[in-house]
Amino acid sequence: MAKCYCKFGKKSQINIVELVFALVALFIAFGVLFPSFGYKNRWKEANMILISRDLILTMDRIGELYNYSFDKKKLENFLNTIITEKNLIPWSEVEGTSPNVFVIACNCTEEEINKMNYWFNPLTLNGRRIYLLFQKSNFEEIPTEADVLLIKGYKNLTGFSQKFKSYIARGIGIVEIMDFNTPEKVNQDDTQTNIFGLWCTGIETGPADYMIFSKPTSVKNLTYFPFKYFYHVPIILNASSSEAITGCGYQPSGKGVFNLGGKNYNFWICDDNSVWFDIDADGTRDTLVNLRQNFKINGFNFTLNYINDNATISISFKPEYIFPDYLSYEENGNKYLPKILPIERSLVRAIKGSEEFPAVILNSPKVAWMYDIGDNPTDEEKTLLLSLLLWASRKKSSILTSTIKTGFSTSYVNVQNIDMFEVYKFSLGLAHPY
Amino acid sequence: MKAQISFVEFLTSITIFLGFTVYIAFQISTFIPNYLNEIKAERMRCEAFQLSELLINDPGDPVNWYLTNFNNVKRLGLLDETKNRTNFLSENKILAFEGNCSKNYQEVKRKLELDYDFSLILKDGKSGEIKINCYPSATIKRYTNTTIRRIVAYEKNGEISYGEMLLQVW
Repeated sequence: MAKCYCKFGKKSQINIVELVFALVALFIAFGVLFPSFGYKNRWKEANMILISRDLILTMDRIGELYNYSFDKKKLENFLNTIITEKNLIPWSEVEGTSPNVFVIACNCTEEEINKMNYWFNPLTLNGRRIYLLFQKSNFEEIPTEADVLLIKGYKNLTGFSQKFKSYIARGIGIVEIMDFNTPEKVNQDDTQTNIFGLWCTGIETGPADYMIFSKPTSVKNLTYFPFKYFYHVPIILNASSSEAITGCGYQPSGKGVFNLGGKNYNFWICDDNSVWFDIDADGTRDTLVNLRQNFKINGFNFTLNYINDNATISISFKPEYIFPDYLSYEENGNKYLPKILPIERSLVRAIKGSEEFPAVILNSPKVAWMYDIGDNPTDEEKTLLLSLLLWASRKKSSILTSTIKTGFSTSYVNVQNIDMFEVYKFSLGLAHPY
Repeated sequence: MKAQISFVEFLTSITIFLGFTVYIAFQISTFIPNYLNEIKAERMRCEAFQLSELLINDPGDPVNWYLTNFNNVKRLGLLDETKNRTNFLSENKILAFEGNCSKNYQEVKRKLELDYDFSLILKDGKSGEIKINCYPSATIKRYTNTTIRRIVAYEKNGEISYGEMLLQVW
């Protein structure tokens, strides 16, 4: 710098070095502010979205969307036949309905778990198999894969409300089946009041009259889904013995018992399309019911949904079913009836037992209390418990999993209505690994 | 002189100015042909997409054009007019399209009102059978071309099947 001043000797002159620096800076600034011309189209991405939309529409048009939504193997086979690009990675998700498998963490004994497996597995809904996996657990730490926490029998839950809140925040539903013989067991337990929203106004003597579902007036009612599940999900009835029946395809026919309202109604699996039912609990065959046919037992409506070989059948309840009194309990020869209500005294959360004595109380988002059904519940009590477990389960599952989820996903709302009107969102994503 | 600049500085300024000018001129001269090609390709992609949409989601005019004389057909579309569901093609229209294309490609192209040449392949997803293979008799390879893949369903001998439709435009 000094050299230049010496040479030109003019103060207003800038020297060459400064000029060059300024110009280099200017070039860099130009490069940043005015990048070289270029034209970028997003045709590749648009093509991927188009293909995933076409794939879903085609699955629907060939009548396989429901199967592909829940069956990983079938979906993979279909995609392998149609996606010829080797570097296209697919994944799929289902949202809004129960997955094929859901895990229920339960403080149950091995014997209780075996019983529940026998009652509920494998459940068939809209033609697909749903498995309820019961896992032994305590309340402090439930398995990470758990969808529902089931608390069986009375437990003092004081001090667990924060823990339960964290489970709820993870999307886990909680169902407790327990009786309370003193109001303090409800009112002085912060988990019962804060999480389950219960309040016991007292224990009264005498049995309840009858128990009926409160009919939801809107799909937004908390009771809507348990109500819907109870009246649509087919419950499994297992054949436990056999008997030869003339004119039946199965020889001998599998014979089982449908325990309704404390009475035993026998059934005989005649062939793969029909079942004989005893409809008046006298132990004799009264009516032959065909698959998908509606029928009545003791004046109540049912549908025969499935016949699985000569071993099991599935039937579903249809409105209007009236439960006998299951709420009251007996102590020293007397009947007692706990009056447990939603803490805000509004019955909108209650699946009514009798008019004043709710038998099931729900709370947002997916928390339910139900009276203790004991070790040998009737089939309608099993169905009631099943409907609560289905309601409380997580409603999102990944079917086709992929580590890459940076591509494009297309969603499609699908419905299936074989046993129950099932609405869910199916998403298919496609991505390139690079 | 206070306002004077040195020759070296003048030379530097001129060089830099010319450098800038040449740089920008070069950028523009290289960009414009690429840009024009991209615009052409973009137009071609649009036409290819529109044509694929028309073929799989429009029944054509008349809707049962496969039953009428091909000269009276106003517009070609493969959608099954009896089902009227998107991405569901009619087997009769697939057969009619293939038949007409193999006889008179130019007429099919005219009915599709397409400025470009095209080829259409419909391959069954299960058996790999080629249901449509429509292409011009003489092919002129061009620098720009576009390929669109669509997945479709159709009835095949009373059974519902699916396939891949490849549409190439150039």
